Amino acid sequence: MEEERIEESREVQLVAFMLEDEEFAVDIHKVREVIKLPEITPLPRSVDFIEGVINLRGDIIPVVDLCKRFSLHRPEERDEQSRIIIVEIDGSGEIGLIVDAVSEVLRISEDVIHPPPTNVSGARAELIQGVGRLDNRLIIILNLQEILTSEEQLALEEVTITDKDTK
Amino acid sequence: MAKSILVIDDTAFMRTTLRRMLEENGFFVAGEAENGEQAVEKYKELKPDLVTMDITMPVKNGIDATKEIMEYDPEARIVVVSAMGQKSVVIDALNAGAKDFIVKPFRPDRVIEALQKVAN
Amino acid sequence: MDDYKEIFLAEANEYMQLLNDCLMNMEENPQDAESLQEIFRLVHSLKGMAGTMGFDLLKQVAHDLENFMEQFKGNEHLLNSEIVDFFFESVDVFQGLLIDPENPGENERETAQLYLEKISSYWQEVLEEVPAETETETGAPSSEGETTGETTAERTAGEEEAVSAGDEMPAGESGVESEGEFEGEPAVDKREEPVGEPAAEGMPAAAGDGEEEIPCADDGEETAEDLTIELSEIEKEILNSAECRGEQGYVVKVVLLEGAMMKSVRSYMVIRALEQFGEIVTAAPSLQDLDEEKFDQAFKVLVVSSFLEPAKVKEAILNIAEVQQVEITLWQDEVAQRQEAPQEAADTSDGVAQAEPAAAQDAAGDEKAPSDADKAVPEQSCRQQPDKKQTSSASVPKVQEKMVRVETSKLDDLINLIGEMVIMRNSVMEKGTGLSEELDQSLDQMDRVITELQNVSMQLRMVPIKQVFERFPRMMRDICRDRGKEVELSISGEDTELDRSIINQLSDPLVHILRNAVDHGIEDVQERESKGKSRIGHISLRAFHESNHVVLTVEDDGKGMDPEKIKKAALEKGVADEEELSRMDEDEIINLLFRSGFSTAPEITDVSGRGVGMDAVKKAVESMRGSIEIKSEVGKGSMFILRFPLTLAIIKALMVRAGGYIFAIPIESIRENVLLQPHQIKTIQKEWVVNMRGEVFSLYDLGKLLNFAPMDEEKDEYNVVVIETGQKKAGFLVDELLGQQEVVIKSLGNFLKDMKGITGATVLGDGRVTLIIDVLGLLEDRRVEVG
Repeated sequence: MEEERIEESREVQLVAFMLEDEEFAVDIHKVREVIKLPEITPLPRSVDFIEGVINLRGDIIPVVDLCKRFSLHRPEERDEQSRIIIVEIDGSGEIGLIVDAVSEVLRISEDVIHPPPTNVSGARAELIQGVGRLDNRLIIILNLQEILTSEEQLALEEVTITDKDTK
Repeated sequence: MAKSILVIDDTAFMRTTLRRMLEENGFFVAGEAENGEQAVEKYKELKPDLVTMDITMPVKNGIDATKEIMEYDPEARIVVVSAMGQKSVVIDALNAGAKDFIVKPFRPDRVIEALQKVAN
Repeated sequence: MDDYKEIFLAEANEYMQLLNDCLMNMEENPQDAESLQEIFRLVHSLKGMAGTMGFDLLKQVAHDLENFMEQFKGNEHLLNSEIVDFFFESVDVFQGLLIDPENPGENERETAQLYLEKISSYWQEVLEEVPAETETETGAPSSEGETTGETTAERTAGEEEAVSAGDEMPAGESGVESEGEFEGEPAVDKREEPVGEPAAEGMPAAAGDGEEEIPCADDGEETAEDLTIELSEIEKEILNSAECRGEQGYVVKVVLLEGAMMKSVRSYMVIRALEQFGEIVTAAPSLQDLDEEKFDQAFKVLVVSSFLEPAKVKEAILNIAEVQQVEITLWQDEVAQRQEAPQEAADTSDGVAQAEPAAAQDAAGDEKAPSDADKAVPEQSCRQQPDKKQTSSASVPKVQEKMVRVETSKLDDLINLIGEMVIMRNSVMEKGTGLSEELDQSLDQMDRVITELQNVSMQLRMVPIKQVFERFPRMMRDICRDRGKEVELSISGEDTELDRSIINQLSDPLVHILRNAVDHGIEDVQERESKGKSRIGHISLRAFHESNHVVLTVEDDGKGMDPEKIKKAALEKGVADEEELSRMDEDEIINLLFRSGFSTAPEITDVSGRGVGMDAVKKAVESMRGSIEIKSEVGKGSMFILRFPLTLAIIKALMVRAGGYIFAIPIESIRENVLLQPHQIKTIQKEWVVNMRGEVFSLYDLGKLLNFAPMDEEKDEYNVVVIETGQKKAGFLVDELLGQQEVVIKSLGNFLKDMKGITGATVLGDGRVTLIIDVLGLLEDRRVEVG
């Protein structure tokens, strides 16, 4: 397939997926593979959105429940359509993202992507790299580097204490 | 155009000495770091043309930092700096992705030669 | 500026130590060229540093001394113990100046001036002894250009002798350097052939210190040694079969820059680069010798390849730092040239010739035979030795060496795969045993082989701790000097082997512990004497195996640690509170030192600039899955004990069910398993405890500890895994014991590596991930809530 010169703006390739009824996407270059949900081993004393770890052909990969990460209300259990998208975080390794369904690979041009809306606050804002408009779809593009930031790491350790207290 | 270098060493003296040496020879010192962790951070931030990396450092040593930087950027050009007698460590560094090495105590001409060769 | 000065002093003092060591070596053999080179380089660097800092007098002395030393390069025979003593004096002078380098005291100034004058007068004396060429060098540091000129003249003179001597050489002597470029230019440049002098680095073209990087013409070529490539029978076979396949043999000659450091690494880099282009057959000097740096500046490698492009190879190798020159010739051409050698009589130093007449004869003999065949086209040699080809093709080793270089990543891959195999073996054994007798037999055999394989693979990663310990004696002398203490370091167990990944990281913590022992452990001489102790303090560094561990101990007979002082300091610094302290015994209090925020000395005396605290040492040790503790007695001394598991990757673990999941507890941390009756479990201050054979320790519900489901409260009996690690002992209550197993530890990756309480994960036979408990981490992190 030829590369067309579209004046100046470039195209971005994304893998789009659903979290509840909102549509998200990640840069395709960071996606290693997409798998069905295997058995997930939970981690003791971890933040709630870290679902646990899985075994991917011998490598241990931490898995994040994106719905929890985005504090989305979750009405149903995971079903046949749920998938784990294995992505690579620059310089740190791989993680898996649990999503409700993977929709498609999108090619959209850069000028259709806008920075995240200012009314999105707190943790959510950091996780969003941009928002793309396609027809009447609103696609939220994730900033992968922030999924497990270092503050999260510290939180992981501190949470261990508070978690115990609540028991 | 001058090549940019990131200088990494845990002693201020070495960093200063190297900086002077490099600047006198037409290199541009983009930044410094004093341990392996900082090294990786700075590399990502500055994206220098070259790196001089001390091997023995606290927090994270030069070999681990080299591995990480190479993972992040397989085209990275790292020259490790070693003390005499650390042969196996230097070889490990080369295997980790370092392009070449220089030995302390320095001979300025050799340092510059090595860097110029690595910069191509 | 003060910052820099501190650091400058640290470096300069290190140099003093190194200088001393070298001079001590030199004392035993004053004419050793390598020692001279070393001290020359040290003084040169010192000069550089002093210059950078603007410490003029220091720089001056270093400068003059450096030039003086240079006189002896190539003239090592003039060195004697008197001159070495004189060099020793310089260390005193330097150290005097280092007291206050910016503003040296009057005494130190005078001493330095006196020394400068001595250098002059010695110089004069030396000049008289050295023939012709150094006349013009009196006190002229910038005589580099002249030096070059002179030595060239000297060489020409020398070379004439060589030629005449060469005529008398036995015909078989084949030390000719085939200088021809690949393009076929014959270029035997005789100017570089020194005679009779034990030339250290060939001819130092640019005054030896490389300040001017432009060597004159073809200088720097090392031909003092015999760089003939000798082929063993097998290597000849390799060449023959290669040629039959249409490949060619190439001789790649590499010349390093004079004074190149770590030449063995350079040669390694060259070989590594060459491997991209073809197969390495052999080298001169041998690959082993290259590894041991038994060569001056040049070496040759014989490569076979079908696609070698000389220009590309040259480019690749010239791109390596400190490589001065690369020449590539066809092996055939080189062999041909050798035949013509006797007629040319261009030969190398007598010394070499005399030492190896026998070898030369053999070489001549060998070469004559195949060369007859070689005169014809390669095919003939193929035809003429069909038998040899058949018999030896089955066993053609790549290179005849006792050692091979393997990339660590390949080793790691191999070991990982073996690890996977171990897990699968477990699973297969589980499912297959008992199905049929025949199968059982096969399984047993397989089991044995795999266990053996596992043992071997563990060995691959093991390396003697000697390389870490090696640096310490010298370092200790330095530290002691610096602190004004007298300490004797004794080392034992250097051959104890450790996993290579630990070895690399061990140095820093050990250095810190040793420094610490000198700083805060060993008292100074007066104090020791007043206490009735021996003048000289002792520090012993030991390494040994114990059960499944490698143990390292650093023991000193210093003043020991006072629990009371530590208690006080802990309170003051907020490291621990009254309540916690009251529950600790002396040992535990002493080990508080490992908590961050601790330092019992009023100021940091460590000048090195590293500033690694005890907490960092502990972290470092634990990141290697080791443990560290201190035992000490006030007035008597202290001992640091470090323990590391023998293997990182595969461990034996006890599988348990707790909290609704399965976990693995490393056997090394387990003391025993017991079944307890409810009445045996007592409650003290809301903690469960048990008294077992007189020992009282705490019990924890493992599931709850890990934040999973707690145990059923009411049970008839409780499974307790008694764990013991370092100082700590406790019991974990679990739902079920599932048996012992060997497991491969898999890292949790960068994101999760700091999880307290979990040391890694393993994959069970069914593919599920099982977490491996970090017993120590779990215990340290506990918050007591069990009721």
